[in-house]
Amino acid sequence: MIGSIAMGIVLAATLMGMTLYTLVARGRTEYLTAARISTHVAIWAMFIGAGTLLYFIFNYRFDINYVYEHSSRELSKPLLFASFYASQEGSFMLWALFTAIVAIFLIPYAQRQRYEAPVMAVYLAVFAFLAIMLVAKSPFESIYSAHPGEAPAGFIPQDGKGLNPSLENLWIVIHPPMLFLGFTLLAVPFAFAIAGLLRRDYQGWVTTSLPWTLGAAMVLGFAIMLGGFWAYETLGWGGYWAWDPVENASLLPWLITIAGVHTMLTQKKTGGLMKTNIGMTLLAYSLVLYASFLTRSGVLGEASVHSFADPGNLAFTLLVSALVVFIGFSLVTFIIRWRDMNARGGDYKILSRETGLSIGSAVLGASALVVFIGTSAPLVSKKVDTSFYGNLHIPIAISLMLVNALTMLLKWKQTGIREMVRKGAISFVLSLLVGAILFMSGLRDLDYLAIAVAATFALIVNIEIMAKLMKSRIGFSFEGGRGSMKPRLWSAFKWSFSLGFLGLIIASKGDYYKYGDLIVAYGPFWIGFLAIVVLAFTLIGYPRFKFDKRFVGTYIAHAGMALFILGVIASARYEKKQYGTLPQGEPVTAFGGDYTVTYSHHEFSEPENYHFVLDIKDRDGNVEQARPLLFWTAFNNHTEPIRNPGILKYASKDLYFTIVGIDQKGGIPEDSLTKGQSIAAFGGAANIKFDEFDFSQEERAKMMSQQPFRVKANVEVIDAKDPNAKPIPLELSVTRNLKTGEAKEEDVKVPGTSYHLRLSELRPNLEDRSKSKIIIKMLDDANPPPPVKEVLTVEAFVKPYINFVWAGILIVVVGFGFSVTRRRREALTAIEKAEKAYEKILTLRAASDESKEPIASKVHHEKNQPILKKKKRT
Amino acid sequence: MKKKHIIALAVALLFIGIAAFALVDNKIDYADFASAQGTGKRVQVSGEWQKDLPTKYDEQSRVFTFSMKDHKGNVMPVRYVGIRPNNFEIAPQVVCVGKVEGGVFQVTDIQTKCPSRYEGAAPKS
Repeated sequence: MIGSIAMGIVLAATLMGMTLYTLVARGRTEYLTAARISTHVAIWAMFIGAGTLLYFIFNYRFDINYVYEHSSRELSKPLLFASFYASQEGSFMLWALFTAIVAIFLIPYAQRQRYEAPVMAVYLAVFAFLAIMLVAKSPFESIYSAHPGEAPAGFIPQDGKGLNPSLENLWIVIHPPMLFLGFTLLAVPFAFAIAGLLRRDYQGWVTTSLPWTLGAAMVLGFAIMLGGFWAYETLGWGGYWAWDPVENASLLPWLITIAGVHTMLTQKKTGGLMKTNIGMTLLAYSLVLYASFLTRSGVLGEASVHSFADPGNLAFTLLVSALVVFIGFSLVTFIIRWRDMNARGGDYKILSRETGLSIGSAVLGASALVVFIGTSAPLVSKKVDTSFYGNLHIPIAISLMLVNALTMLLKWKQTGIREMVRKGAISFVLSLLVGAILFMSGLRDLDYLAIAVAATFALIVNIEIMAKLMKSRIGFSFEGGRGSMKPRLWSAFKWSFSLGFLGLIIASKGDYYKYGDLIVAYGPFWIGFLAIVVLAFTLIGYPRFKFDKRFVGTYIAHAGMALFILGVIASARYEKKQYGTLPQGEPVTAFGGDYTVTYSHHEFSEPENYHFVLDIKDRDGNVEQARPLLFWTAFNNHTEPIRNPGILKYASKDLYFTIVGIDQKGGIPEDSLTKGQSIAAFGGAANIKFDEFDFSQEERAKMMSQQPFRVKANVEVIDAKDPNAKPIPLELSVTRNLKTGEAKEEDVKVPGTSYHLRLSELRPNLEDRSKSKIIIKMLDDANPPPPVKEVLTVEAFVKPYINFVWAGILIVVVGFGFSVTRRRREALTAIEKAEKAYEKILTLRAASDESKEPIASKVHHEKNQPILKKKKRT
Repeated sequence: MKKKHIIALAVALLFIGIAAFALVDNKIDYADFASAQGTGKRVQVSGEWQKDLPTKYDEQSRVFTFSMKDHKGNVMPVRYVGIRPNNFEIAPQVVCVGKVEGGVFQVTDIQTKCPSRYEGAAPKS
């Protein structure tokens, strides 16, 4: 009830705020306060709504349909939190919640940038769209109104259905929120672009929105990587990216945003590419909406495993209308302003950094185009093979890396070809050398070689420039003696924390599930260490680390990208895959003798988890354990297990094991016999023939009433070696108890031999008695059966340099972080400068023409008006 | 038109040409058994698993065989080499990609559609 009301208020307040801000933007500044109040009402109502849903989830309110469908009592606290956004309604809720949170930071920023009214008007329109979705498909619907007729009013189920178990792990708590935060942040540059268009400020908005664009790209990129990592760590198919439409849908806006970042930088330097930048920014957000449409409307039903189910007509219509309204509005505004946007200084020399940036953007655009085509194919009843993406990304990756390396060697405006060659020659020769070494070591695929050389080139160039930049900007100094305490304590903490974290990673060998135990075990030592460091730093002095990170962001990000691409191709090209059958306790060699794998035992844990412990011995005799997991759950009615891989992490590679199946080998040999059939047994020493079974009416009645019942079967055993031997008739029997599942098999010795027979099961054929079967067990005292053994079938991978993939992206994210800080500072300086210049004009004007209308009122009037054409930057 | 525009246009056209070629080469049509018969093309067929017809998974060779009924009601045996897909038993619908060869649908990719599906991860990547 409270939740639904809150959602209603959010919708009303966002629409109200949007209208009021629009009025303010058109000069009716008296509504500014009201507009801000509306926005804050929307924000707070959103918090209340989200809080209510969270409250329902944590209090197991299964009378709320959403909670019933996606949560359950057995979920741990973090997973309960995750069930908040487990499905359509909740994920819109999360998205809207982030929109509200980001608004809190956006309002003061936009206000500072003199952009509040138009930006907030657009941003609130986005917020309103989310609110409409939440009102139309409310997560607060009760179970009786969701299932009319099935559940009586007031009915509260004991437990909910729970989450899909293959998703139940750490990453569901991190990945989706990251993704939605990225989507939310992309709305900000979108709002700035529209506002810039409306104000005819085609230059200033770029500087203003750049930190947000970079921030969105950072968060979204990180989120996409987390998704890949999640798939790799838990799904067990050995990969991290499958070009699934849902994955692609999140990649598309990211690619366009990244492309946009590069052209925005070009515009900042040269003033050109105005239309491109506005277009890119509008496109990036349109693609966010397109992605939501694809994944939530049910159109991908057949093409993707993990798109949402069909949400119903209303939601579909709303999604389509949102797509039409936002894209339509963007397009119309863009076209109206087309003639007005005359690029200034758009002509730049071929051999300059800005040209390189533009080409880089174009290549990224090409990548986006490929992904777009492949992802949209299901809309026209087609699908593309994943090789489509792979093949086309070979030329893309090569050109991207080459363009990156060459561009970094160029200066803004113009560079002579000789200078470029001089700067890049060594790096290029080095990367060719790497290529040659790879060729010598047996790499003959031209595409892999080309990508490897190009990526190495980019990596070296970026690292080289980074090193040069850092030379003067990084350094240590030692602050001895006595002085203020604060920097000492802070420094002591930073050093101890960094060392401790490093130790944690090394000690756990990358297995983050061990962090908890390690922290508990070594935490006290760390505290002791911290105390010593604090003491030493206070008494003796402390090392000071100087790091000017302003200009390195770019190079860090690009070096990370190059590393990522190297990781992708190395882990793909040098991957080894093998299936293995592992009888318990028997060492089996794998990967050409590089490893010996022994299935040792399995460990059971609550509720139904089986860890299969594999001992992996390498050539040097070191033994490590991999622990792939199988678990059963009620989610799929215990029909089959869910798999999680066991991964052994090394610095240069991963060993990856997934269980394909378990079987049993050995034990007492069994065979089945149809009536009248004769089979060879005991290694051909005897023949056994099944004559007739005896399952009397009386015993049948016992079976019906769940009492123990006895079944008999008559067989004949003939010595196969002696042609004159007479058949020996035997009566076998088994007593079964259906209640307890017990079966008592009578052991019958074949006279004059060392053989025993047991009846294990009778499978009567009710339609045709002559087709009835029995299953018998055959024992030989002289030749005891091999012990029962579990046999595990596993799929094993060696994944070399997979860590480059993760490390590469993390480095990219760090680089983006530095760039966000730098561009934010620039945006703030730019507005300060512009304000000063404007004030100067005002005073000058006030001094020169007193005769015209009083300036003071004009100032007031223009506070939120397009007064500021920011100074063109050089 | 300046020279660089012409170069850019040429490169773009070249790339679009390559992309179009790759698209034709790699596309997989949605089809049914009747229309896929004898074409030898890779197609996607969705349908239902026939529970009462023989279904077998051999853990040694990892060959998974079962029968599937497409939306036109034709039934065909399906052969797949690989890990048995998750949630196969409870999936009301199975989506397979492969070629029809000699009366058997030789499949390289199976997806199962569960009643509750992979609802969990939002747009998961």
